[in-house]
Amino acid sequence: MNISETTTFISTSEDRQLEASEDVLLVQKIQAGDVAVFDVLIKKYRERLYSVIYNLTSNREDTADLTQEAFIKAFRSIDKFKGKSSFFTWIYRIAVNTTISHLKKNRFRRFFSFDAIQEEGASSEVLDILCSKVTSDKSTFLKELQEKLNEALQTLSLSHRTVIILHEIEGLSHQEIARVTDCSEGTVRSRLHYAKQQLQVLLKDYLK
Amino acid sequence: MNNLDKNSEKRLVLEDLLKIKRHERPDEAFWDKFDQQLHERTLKKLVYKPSLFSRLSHLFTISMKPALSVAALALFAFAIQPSFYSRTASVMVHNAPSTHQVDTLADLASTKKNYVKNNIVIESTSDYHYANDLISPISSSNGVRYLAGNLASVNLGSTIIGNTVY
Repeated sequence: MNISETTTFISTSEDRQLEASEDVLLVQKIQAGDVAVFDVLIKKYRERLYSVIYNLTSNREDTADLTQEAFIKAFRSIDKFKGKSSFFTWIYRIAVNTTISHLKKNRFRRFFSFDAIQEEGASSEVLDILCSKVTSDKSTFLKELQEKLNEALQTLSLSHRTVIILHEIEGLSHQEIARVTDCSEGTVRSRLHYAKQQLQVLLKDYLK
Repeated sequence: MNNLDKNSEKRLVLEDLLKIKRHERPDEAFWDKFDQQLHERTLKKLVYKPSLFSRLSHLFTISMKPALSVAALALFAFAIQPSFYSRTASVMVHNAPSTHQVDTLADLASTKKNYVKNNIVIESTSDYHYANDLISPISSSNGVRYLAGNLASVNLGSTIIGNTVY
């Protein structure tokens, strides 16, 4: 049995369509001067933006800083947001571009620092399967797995890393990723295919 | 067959492994600190940071006779390198906008022009609303003070560095 078939993404495209219409109302309030409403958008998107940036950088200190920077940029240019795309893709684009600029600027100064894996939740079944196949204790194994996953992601190019994170971890559709990364859906599919091939090789020990 | 055996039979795919990354996340306490830092950074972006040159020129202007101050400024400008003109780390809050000034700021902000008035930089409509929302006068026994976001209650002319008011 393939575990992926039984799990669902964090939120579906339908959920995000509903979110998008709610966001339009919130943005209109902010543009009219009710800036406190921006806190609602921060609370709504902070975990998601943090997650994207964290998985791109594998560094939690940089992630906190870059997530705040992305929100400040979004806030300061919110009057330019005309609603042609959803607020969701707009703020993701700001977060991804901010992070890519940072990574390019600091490509020779890289080190990892990880957040802990919260064991409760949907992936506990996956963790149980993985842990049942090893003799070492669970915490040691999880630490090793976390390092390998992050190392594997960091070996991918920025464009391939971005696509696989947005699709497989954040649950965005090809169309949504195309909007966020400003490329065609065909390019997204091609990058995703290549990134998966690379990761299959790098993580083969865990996929036996 | 026990659960362990059942688990051993299941085949993991790459997508399963990557989903584990969804569970690498900070705890709840992290977000309180995050929100506070974000508000502080947003406020700092709003506040004008005078250059060393402008602060020294202001000092010369008020402390010396005009002729002497011009000569001193000329000497100073000749002696220092352009890098000294860069902005300093301290954040000055000299004043907060009055009702009339807020109206003016609103007009200027809508034209998207940079506007430096009372040491508050207004670059966008959001900045104007944020300044209007966060920097507001409050009464106290020591006269009028200004509440700058959640940083602190500050007097006119106070300097804020980080969370400390000088």
